[in-house]
Amino acid sequence: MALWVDKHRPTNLDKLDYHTDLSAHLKKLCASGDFPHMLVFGPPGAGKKTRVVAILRELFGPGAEKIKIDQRIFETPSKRKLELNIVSSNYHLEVNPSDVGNYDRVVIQDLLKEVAQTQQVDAAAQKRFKVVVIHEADLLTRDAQAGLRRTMEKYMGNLRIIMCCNTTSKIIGPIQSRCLLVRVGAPTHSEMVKVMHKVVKKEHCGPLPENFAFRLAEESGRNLRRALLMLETAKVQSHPFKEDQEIPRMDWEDFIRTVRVQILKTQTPESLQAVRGQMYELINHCIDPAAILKTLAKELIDRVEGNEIKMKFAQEAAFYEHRLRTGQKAIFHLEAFVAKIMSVYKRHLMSMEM
Amino acid sequence: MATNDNECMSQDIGSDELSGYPLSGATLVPNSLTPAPTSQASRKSRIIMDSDDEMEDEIIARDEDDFLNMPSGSQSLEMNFGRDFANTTSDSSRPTRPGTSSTTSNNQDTRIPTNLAPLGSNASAQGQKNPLTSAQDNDDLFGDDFFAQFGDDGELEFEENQNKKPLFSRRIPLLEASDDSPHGPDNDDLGLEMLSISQTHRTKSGAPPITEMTRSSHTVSSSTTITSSIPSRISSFGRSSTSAGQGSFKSLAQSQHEEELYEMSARQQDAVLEDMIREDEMLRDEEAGLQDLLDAQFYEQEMMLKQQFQTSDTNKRKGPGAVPTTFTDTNDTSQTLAEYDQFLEESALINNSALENALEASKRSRLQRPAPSSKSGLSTKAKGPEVKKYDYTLPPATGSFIKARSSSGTTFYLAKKVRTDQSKNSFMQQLMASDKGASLLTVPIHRMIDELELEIRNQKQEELQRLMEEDDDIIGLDEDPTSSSNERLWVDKYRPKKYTDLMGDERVNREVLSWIKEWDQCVFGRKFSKFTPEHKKQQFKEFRKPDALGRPDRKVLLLTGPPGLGKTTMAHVIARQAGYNVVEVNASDDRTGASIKGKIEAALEIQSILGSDKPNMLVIDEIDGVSSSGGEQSFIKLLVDIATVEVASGEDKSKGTGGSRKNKKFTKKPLMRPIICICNDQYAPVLRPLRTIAQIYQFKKPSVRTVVNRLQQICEIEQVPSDTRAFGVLYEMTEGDMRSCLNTLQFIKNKSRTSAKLASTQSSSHKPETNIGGSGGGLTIEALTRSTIGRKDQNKSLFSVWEEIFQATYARKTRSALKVMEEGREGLVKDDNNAYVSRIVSIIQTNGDYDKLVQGCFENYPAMIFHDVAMSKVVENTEWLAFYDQLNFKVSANFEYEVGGYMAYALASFHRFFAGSVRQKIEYPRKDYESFVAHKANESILQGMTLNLPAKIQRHFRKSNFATELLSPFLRILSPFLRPVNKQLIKADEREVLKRLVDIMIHFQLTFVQEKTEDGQFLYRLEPSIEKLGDFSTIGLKNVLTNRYAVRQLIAQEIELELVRRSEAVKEAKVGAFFGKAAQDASLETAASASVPGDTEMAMKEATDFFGRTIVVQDKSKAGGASLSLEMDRPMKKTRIWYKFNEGFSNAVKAKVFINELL
Repeated sequence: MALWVDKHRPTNLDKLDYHTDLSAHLKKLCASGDFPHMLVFGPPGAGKKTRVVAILRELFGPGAEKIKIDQRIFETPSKRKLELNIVSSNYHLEVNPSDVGNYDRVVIQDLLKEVAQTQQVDAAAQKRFKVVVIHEADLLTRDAQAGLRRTMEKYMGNLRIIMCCNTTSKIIGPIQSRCLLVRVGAPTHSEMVKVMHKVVKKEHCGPLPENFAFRLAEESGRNLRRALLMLETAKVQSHPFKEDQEIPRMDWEDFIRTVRVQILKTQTPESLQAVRGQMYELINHCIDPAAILKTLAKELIDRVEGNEIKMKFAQEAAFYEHRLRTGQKAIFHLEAFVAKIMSVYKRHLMSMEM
Repeated sequence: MATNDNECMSQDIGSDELSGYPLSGATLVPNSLTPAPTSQASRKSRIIMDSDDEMEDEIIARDEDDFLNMPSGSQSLEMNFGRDFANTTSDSSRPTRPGTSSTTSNNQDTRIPTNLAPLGSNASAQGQKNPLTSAQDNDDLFGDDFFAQFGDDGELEFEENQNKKPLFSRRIPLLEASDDSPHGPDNDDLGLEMLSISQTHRTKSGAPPITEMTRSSHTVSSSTTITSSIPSRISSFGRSSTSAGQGSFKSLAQSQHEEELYEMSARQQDAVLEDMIREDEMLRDEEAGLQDLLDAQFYEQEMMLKQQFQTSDTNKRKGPGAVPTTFTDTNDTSQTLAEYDQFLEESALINNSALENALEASKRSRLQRPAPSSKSGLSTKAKGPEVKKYDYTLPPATGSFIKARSSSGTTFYLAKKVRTDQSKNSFMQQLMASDKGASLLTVPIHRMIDELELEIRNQKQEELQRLMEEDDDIIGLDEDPTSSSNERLWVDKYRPKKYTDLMGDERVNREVLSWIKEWDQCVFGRKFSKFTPEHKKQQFKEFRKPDALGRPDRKVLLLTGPPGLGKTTMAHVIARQAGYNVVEVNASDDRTGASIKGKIEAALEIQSILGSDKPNMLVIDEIDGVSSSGGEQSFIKLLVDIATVEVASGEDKSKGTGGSRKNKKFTKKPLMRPIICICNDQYAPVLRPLRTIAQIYQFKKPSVRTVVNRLQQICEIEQVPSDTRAFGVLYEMTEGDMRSCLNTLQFIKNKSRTSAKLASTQSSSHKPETNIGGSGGGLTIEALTRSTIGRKDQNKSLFSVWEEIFQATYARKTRSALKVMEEGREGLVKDDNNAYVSRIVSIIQTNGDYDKLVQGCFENYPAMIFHDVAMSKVVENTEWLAFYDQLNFKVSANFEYEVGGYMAYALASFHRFFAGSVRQKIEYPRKDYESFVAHKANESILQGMTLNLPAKIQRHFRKSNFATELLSPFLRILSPFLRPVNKQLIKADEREVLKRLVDIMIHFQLTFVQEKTEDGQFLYRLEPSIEKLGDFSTIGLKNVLTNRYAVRQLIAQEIELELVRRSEAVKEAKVGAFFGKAAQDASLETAASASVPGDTEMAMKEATDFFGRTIVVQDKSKAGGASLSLEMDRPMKKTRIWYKFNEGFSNAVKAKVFINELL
């Protein structure tokens, strides 16, 4: 018995709860003879992977759901061994090359070639190609993407690639142009509430207060996966759902809240140092620095008064998140962001006093 | 010239003495043979043969030199006598001189039989007179030689004789000395040997000239030959003396011919010098007590002198005729009157010739260089020895002396002494006389002698001093800059020898010394009382636990600091000062733990018997270079163990980590000797364990003033022209490194000297000293800038770079001093405001460890004191950091090293914004590394977690979003509220909750594992331990995961039961499948769906084979999915159920329980 989020995940395109037109479109696409390469993008928790799995099922039937996990070993030119878990069925492969960091190019090259050079001999098979699903494609290095680029064309006969990512901004143009871009937007609040009701009903755990469901949807930031997890958590914490039930929160978000308090309280180098310690802790807990920055910015923007300063904060957050992505030492950029915020806020306070 | 000759002779004699007696004697024998035949040519060839005969080449060379240099035999003879005289004086230093001439001759006999025999044979072969000589008695054996020679040479070869005379002359004195030596039982052996050696020499080489003497007085025996020659000489003197009247030496001397006088004085000079040298050498060899003996001897001599006066007086009274009587009295009675007459004639003749000779000599400005006839040579030779004695006395007086010498019997004592005394005395007189009569020399000869003497003394003393206390005080030495001292490195030459010479921080010096002194109680058993004010003492008492052995608190001293500040020197100096014997272990030795163990223990516990009786002190130099490998046996570990061994009383200080445990293994003895460790980098990772137990003193560079002062002193001594400004620059260049300063100085000096030498050789002017001071040499700023000596290209340590970055005032100072350099070098005048950039950047670039540097700056800057309005500086700096990070990313990820050059500039911004005038404490950056480690640990937990997830979940929850999205809710889902009650008492709804929890946990392959904590308690831990991942310090895990033991225990049991149940169900399902009925009961379904997701459908669906045909049910092996097959196989075997007995359960009652009851 898995978590609700897994248990009630729709398994084919027909069962999807929202983006029905997209589902219909995809279905048609699968039925047609030439299935294109696909680049599925959208915010987390919107249902990208669910749709990808549904597509696979649509393409290959239930056989695509018989999956197993292989551990494959790749060797870099410098004889370094890379281990990578690959989820695969008879019809497809799922890889997450970003797991091997800078060596993803090797994985992409080896794996794709291997797949592309084997041909489906089963004449009865619905499709003559295999599908390679690349998760977190936006984390692929440029080298890897360049390696992908030509392969995609060359082995079109045997191979389709479905890439999943949050943003297309990091995918190089040539690849974007070779793919069908499928955007999976985050579900609306009402859609989420609908899904939650459905889940609660299936689980036979009493009525879900409308208000509570809505708050959950809001709190999750339109991330359905999160919303469902929170729902389940709420259920565990107090079973009959109440209207004003406390919404379970992420620990690390709570932690960021304390950071926010610190930042807005004092704006000195000492305070900066304290914040730095907290930042380190967040990073240590494997929280994505970008997520930290984003959450913190959100917290800050919510907490300060005055549109101008809010705008300023947002601007800085955007600026430093960009910086963060161009570098590799997250702590520098996080601190830079905090320092900037402190500076801006302090000036803001001083101008208020004047 | 006189001085030259003197030197020559002294050397000669010295070497003679040095060459071993037997060897020289043996080799010389043939020489004495060869001379016998005799033309000039043959003589010369003989000399050459000498060299062939393996005599010391040097000597021979010198012989030849002398040979050539001294054209006139007579003079050389005279010289010889002078020397003789000197010898006798030197001999006189010996307590007694009892030997008689006869005995001496006997001795000679025995000693030089070879010498004589061949000569004799020669003589018999060649000369008619040989029979005569051979007939002579023992006393005359000596004479044999002479006669033989005489027979050979005859009168014919005067010139040849002259040529040979130098040789002879040199040896004569030796003979005389040797004559004495055998008889003086009290003589020290050394002198005796020397003399005897010289005697042999003399006898051989000296033979030919003497023959001539014998010729002049044919019938006289050998002993008398000498004496006869002397009388002849005496007679000449006698004449002059008679003319002058009689009486005191002075008057006599004055009455003599001036020329002669000069000759004498010259000879005497030689003799005196020789004497001096000999004395000097002997002084070195012998004890100072000799001096006393000398004094006594002088007294004796004085007495003798008086006696001699009397005898001479009587002689005079008797007139010439009386002389023989005295002769006969004192000497051989065998002498006949006829002989005497002949002798008189002869002597008169000789006297004349001597006069002529003297005149000739006077014509030549050089005393040594007259070229008299052989006869005159003879006479002068005869004169020579006498000269000293008889210069001023009448012939009779001298005669008596001589006789005394050659005779045997009771009288000889007196006579001989008289002679020596006389000679000594007469010499003094002569000196005075010569002083008055010195008209030919601009400087009176005795003054020259004095000067020479002084010079020689000084030289010797200097040499001695250098030898004995090679490392004397720095300033104390004044050495010739061109002398051999150059070969020593100045660093060694001017190394401090005493505590007071130490430079650097007084306080550190003092404290180190007092630390060592604190060992006194332990090592020397005496109390060292450090002066402390009373009130402080009280405080100390409270703080300090007295060591049972009276050792200092910290047993190991660690001196740290950059190179060239004198750490090693200081350790050695202080150790010496405190009375220790330093045992040094440095990087040149093998320093792995195993190999060093014995060495250290030996040094610390064993007292050397042979060496000094000082206790050992261990100095471990360059300890930061020690290898850290070896684990338990590593060097540092060993050291720490040794240092932390406690006194047996068990006073527990619990210092150091493995101390107590390790002790049992090898040493139980506490450390009894001080250990000083020296390193450059006290933060070297290997030193970490040592740092905690060691007393650490940090060396700072000495102030500019002290360094400059010291350098100036050295430059003065070394005569390097210099200016103070250059010292300042040098100091800056070397960063206070004294060693480097000195090396640079020496380098500059040597450079200037070689160039000067080159110049001088080109201009053929042989005075390099003048050039040193000239244009080329000297320490000037130009010299520093022009020369290739650069700044120390030293890899500055991280800390010093950080200090540079965060220190403003210091930086400014440096800049001002170095600006001179920069200007000199590049001709660039830098803008003051921007100067720091290039400087800081160059410092950073020489270090090169950007990552660490940035991290250090990053972690330290918020702690710095700086003024900042609204954090603008910080913000601006973060821009630079971001810039750095971007560059770094390019370099490390994209390998675009081109941009790496700019990375240092990002660091310079720290200096710009945060540099303070105050020295600020900089800590080593650890946070980043700690964070890295923590991150890695958490990541591995995540990895473990996600990799174990079933494929379906793994597809959706990856490492990337597990922590951010899944973890928090998941942990809460895992922690529903459950009462800690017995399983039987759980209510239905609770059971429901529990069931679901167990489901989920099994699904995610989580379980609770029992563990025993350090304090003995049991607890259940979630495995994999994702708890940690969600645990934030300030908020903690609120309401998450009931931590109660009972609940977790319940859950854990439930999980196990469920697992058992499921495997059972699978088995049943399998069995059902085996019998052809598709077992569709609920348990199978749950098991299948839970453990192998997606398999439910598989089971439902008709299985098809490869070609799509349905498979007969019996073909069960086909049915399983990859992961199912394992579980499917297992039930087919005879299943055994294992009941796991858990620790902590009661086993009081043993009863048979069936698994069904449990389920």
